[in-house]
Amino acid sequence: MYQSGRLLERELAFTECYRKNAMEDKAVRESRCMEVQISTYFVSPEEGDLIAGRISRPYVVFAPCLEGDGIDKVGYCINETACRQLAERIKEDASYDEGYRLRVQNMIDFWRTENTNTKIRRRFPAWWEGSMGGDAYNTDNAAIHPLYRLAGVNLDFRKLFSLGICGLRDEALRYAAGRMEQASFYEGIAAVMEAVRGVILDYRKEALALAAQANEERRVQLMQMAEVLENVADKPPVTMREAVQLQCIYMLACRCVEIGRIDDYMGDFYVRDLKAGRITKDEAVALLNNFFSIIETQSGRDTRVIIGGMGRRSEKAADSFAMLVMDVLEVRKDHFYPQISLRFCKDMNQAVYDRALEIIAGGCTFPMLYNDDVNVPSVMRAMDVPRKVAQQYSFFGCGEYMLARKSIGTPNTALNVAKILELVLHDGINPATGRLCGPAAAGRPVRRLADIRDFRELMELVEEYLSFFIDISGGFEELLYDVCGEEACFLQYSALLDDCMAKGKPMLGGGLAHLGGTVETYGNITLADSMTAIAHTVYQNHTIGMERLVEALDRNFDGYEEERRLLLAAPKFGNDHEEADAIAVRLHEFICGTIRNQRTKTRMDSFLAVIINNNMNSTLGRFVGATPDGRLAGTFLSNGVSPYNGQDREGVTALIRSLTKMDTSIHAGGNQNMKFSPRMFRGENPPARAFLSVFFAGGGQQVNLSVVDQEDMEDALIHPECHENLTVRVGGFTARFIDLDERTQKDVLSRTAY
Amino acid sequence: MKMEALLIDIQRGSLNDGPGIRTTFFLKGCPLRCSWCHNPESQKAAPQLSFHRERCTLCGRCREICPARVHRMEPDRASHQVDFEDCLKCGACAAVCPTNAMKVIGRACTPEEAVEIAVKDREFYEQSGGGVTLSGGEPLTQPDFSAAFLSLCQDEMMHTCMETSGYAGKAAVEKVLPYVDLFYFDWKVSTEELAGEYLGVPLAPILENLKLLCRAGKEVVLRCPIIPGVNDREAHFRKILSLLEEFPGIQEAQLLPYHDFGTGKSRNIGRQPSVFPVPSREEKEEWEAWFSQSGAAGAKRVRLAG
Repeated sequence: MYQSGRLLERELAFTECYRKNAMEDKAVRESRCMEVQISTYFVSPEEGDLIAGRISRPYVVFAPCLEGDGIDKVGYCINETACRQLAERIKEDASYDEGYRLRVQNMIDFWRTENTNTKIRRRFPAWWEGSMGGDAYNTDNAAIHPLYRLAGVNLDFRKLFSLGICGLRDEALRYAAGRMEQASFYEGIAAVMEAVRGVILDYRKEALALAAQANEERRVQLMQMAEVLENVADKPPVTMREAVQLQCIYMLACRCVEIGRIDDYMGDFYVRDLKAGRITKDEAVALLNNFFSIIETQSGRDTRVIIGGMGRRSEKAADSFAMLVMDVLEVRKDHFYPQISLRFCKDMNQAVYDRALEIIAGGCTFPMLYNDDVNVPSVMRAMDVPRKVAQQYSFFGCGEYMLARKSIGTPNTALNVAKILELVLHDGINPATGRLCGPAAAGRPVRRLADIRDFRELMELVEEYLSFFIDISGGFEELLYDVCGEEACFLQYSALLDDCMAKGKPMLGGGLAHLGGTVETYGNITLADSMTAIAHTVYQNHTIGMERLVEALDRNFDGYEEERRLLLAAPKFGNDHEEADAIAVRLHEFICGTIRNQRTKTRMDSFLAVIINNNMNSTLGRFVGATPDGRLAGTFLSNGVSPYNGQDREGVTALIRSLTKMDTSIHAGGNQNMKFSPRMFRGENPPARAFLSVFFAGGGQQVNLSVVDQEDMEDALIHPECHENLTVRVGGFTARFIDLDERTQKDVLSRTAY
Repeated sequence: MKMEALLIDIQRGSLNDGPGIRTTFFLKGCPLRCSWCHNPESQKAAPQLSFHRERCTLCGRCREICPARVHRMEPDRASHQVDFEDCLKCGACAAVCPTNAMKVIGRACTPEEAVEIAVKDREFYEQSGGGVTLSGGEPLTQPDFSAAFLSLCQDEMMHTCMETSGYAGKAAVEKVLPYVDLFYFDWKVSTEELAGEYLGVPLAPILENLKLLCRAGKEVVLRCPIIPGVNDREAHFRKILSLLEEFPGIQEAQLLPYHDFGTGKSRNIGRQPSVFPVPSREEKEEWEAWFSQSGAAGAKRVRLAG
């Protein structure tokens, strides 16, 4: 395994390999770079690991997603900040000669223009100028930002297990022999598989070497590890240990972070092993726990484990495995990744659902609940796929839906719809920067606010702006796929995604069965509540003139307290209020529908909104001035499709009524947050159960539940040391309350608790 | 004539006013004057002004607009006093207050309007064994509305519950009787002396009405607020047990430990609240222990709630 050597030596080796193969076919170049990457990437197992597979983080890599320089990167990536810091250290360290320093400097300069992000940005069309925000969404004030990444790929691990690494290599070689014109693609896959096999064999050697020096208990573990590695190097896995081991190395080698529907593809291994006495339940818990820990620490971001749901091949075995995963969850209560999620439906074993509720009632935010009775038909419609395909929907990150083994669905733009309203109210000028954005910036004729005569016209104008930015979203997604497809084949992915091998095409070069994409939208309910408030005050009651409203917003209501009061008093989404909900529904349908229509403007099979949220609603809220719903400048925006913080005042039944009015079949995921106090789970027939069953029966697709006492959170602000274990669901992720930044703490605290 | 009740509030998704998930309608007006009342705004049978002092920013708009000049401020606007007695309940101040510090409590509602709201959550009732609860205030002070509304609820096949102090004329009780599936019946003190001192009404009619309900075979749950220093005594506890013995139809007696959430609301409507000590966890456990050690058959039906 790689032993740390000279600073940036792996990055230099990778770069030199890339340059040497610059003129080669992209598959050849990628496979050679991957060989370097894989062989210098893996490091020794950690003490106590039952599975081999740990990676160190080089700063120049080929990856579907790399975090670096404060943003995401895709394809050939460099973490320039980290490289520069290391270059400084090299400069000060006398053990490096001038030649080495020069090579490092050359490398950084080379990647500055050769990295895939830059290649994408260079191809932005002229009409995006002014409207498309900068890459740094954390600091740049704009209505839309590009996000460079390919995320959420759910690989076909069943195929990996049935063929094994050699089988995959041989499959590719067989294809290569028969299809000359696609030979480099297939040979590239075969070469990468061989590189992965090399890692497996290296780990075997290392396990044996470590065993020789270990104490008795560890020696047994390491000898077993070596045996498992020996078996999977040449043959498909037979036992659960072998399957998990192979999966772990495969995922780390290609930086895949999605474990996906593990009960479906691992259930049979587990049940067979149990029956044959090859593993006990406790051993299986320990093994899985180790696997989850490795993926958690190595991925460094959202990863998902999905259990339950429709369309699993051997349901009984899968249910046993799902129960096992929940046992693992109980021993991993203070770990938030992978995000364990339960898909459930009416026809499923209720014991699995009951077990999940039992864990949630104990204050755990996992498993997250996904309702297949709603989700499967919704995916069928949203993505236009048959039921059988829709049953294989999966989700990643904060909850974006895609089709396991068939599609990717990365959100590649962040669209701030509350900011878009701000632009409309300022005739396209961003008040924070003074710059013109939107349709007018692209030279398109667009009405001015002063010419708007009624609410209908205002709504149309908002929709025109939304459409403009959505066109940029669709265009960017397609551009990113184009450039990534030109640059690379993503060989290890293409080998395990439907249709790529059979077609002889890489995943982004026509291989994928379903080319999907998504866009993250933020502040949807802030926009809806703002439009309702405008309808009420400006157009119905004539209590505020439009000019005065804009003045009040520009001054953040300072001296306009009366206006703010009137705006706050207008009805809000989340209270089963007919008018407020109707406006929210209309905007929801417009935004989701317009995004979905991008599939006719682009080559994507589907392009969908995700109204999911991490804490970007809080980050992006900083860039939005006061809004007509009465929200003050710079404060958080609404989260997901949930009501704005504390504005759901009519009780949880009204909240559920409002939430279920939103069509779920036109987007790829929407977060619904509910904060329940522990009392909701008490008693023989706990009210939470009834609330959830009405919610799910009425069309609720998913829920992010936090079971917390409001007083505990308030106290945690004063005595954080007493609330180390208080966990909350922020939106798309879970966190220790005391670890959140103040802004996000306030956001979570101010949501209505039931 | 249009039949209307005066409502303080409607609470959807309530979990404390009967079994399951419920919608609770709080009527305004109560003949009792319990010193510890936690809904003091429910006592007066007419609209009244509520002033939330913590929200006031001393902007002075209410003072400018008030026709009765009930809002007084020091010249330097250092404090805001309200002459509640002189208030016309016109709502003008509430309409201009930028922080919603003022509101007029009490809105009119017909039985039909109330049912329209109640049916919205029917699925929740069905899933949880819940329904509709009429509370107050004292719903028996508005028997025509109560009977009409609850009868409509029953027509809609929704379970009905009434929270009552039991203090009302026999006619009023008989009027609502057929339409109530479950009574949450308060049992606050056990002697006429304490009733006079703390409730402001006699106890005898309350006991009579309890008998009437039990004899009619209605489902009854006794609700017993336990106020330290007032009724956390053996004599009262024994009376609760003897009621349980006398009326096997009483499903259970719920002990409701005193809390002081109502004191802020008292100040908002211009009244000085009476304050009682909030019982500690140990005290509550002692009450429970007393009942379980009493050996009485009815003790099994006593439960600490709230």
